[in-house]
Amino acid sequence: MNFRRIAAVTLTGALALAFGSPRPAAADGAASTRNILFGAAAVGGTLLILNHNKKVHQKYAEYDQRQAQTQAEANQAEAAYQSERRAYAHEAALVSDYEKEAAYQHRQVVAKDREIASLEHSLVVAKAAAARAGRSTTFAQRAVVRTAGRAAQPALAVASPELVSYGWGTY
Amino acid sequence: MTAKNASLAAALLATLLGGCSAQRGAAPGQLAEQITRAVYADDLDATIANFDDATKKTVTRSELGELSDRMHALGDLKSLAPRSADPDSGKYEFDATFSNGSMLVQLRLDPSGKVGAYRVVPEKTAAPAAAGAAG
Repeated sequence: MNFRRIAAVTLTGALALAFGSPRPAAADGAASTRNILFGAAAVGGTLLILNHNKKVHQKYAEYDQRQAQTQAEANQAEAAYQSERRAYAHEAALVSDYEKEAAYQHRQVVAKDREIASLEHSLVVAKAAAARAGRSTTFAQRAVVRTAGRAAQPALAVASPELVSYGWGTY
Repeated sequence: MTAKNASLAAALLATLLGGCSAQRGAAPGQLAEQITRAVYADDLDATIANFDDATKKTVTRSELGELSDRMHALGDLKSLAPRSADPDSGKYEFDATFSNGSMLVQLRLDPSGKVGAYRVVPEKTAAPAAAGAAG
């Protein structure tokens, strides 16, 4: 700002010297040369001020651009942080669901294991009983008798509670 | 020439029919009678000759002896007559007539023609009638 003020004072002084004190046009060469020099100095000062102003505006523009960019980056970082936070919250909820599901499946597996163990025990007992009796488990079983139907209808198979069939394979 | 063609066609037809018959295996009635007579005779090899592999493994000598004894308790084996048939499921039933009673014979054939199940059901109601007829 000081440079600007000095330049303005210099320019004002130069103009005052050039035009402020009107003098009769001198016909001599020295006065003409002096007038030309004062005019050139005035033009040069004006250009200097304009160039300075232009640089100042350029600096402010760059500064504003940097500020805007910094602000944008900050906003972007904030938005990214919020997005990450939301994603983390979702993942945490998902993990919680997975944990619940895994716990449920674990309980199911334990229950099934117990059921299988019980069935295996029953099978072992049945096989042992059959071995003691010296026969396979299917040799004697409840008879399935096919009742004679009409010709147009297929015969029905019914299990007869009082009849026992002997043999091999399942009819 | 025509006679030669006719004989060739007849030979071809006979071959085709023979092949089809071999693929189907023995008739259910024949199988049931053969197995029933083998069980009655307590002949293990003949009993399981037409069984499929899985069913063969389930047959034991003691079971065969027990079933043979049950048949002998009804007297001599006279005949086997078809009672019902369901070729779609491969299930056939026969009445086995003994001198002092009868049994229901059940046969299930696999699609391959092998026997997947052979069972007999002693018919309690038939025994007194047969016994009365005999006495």
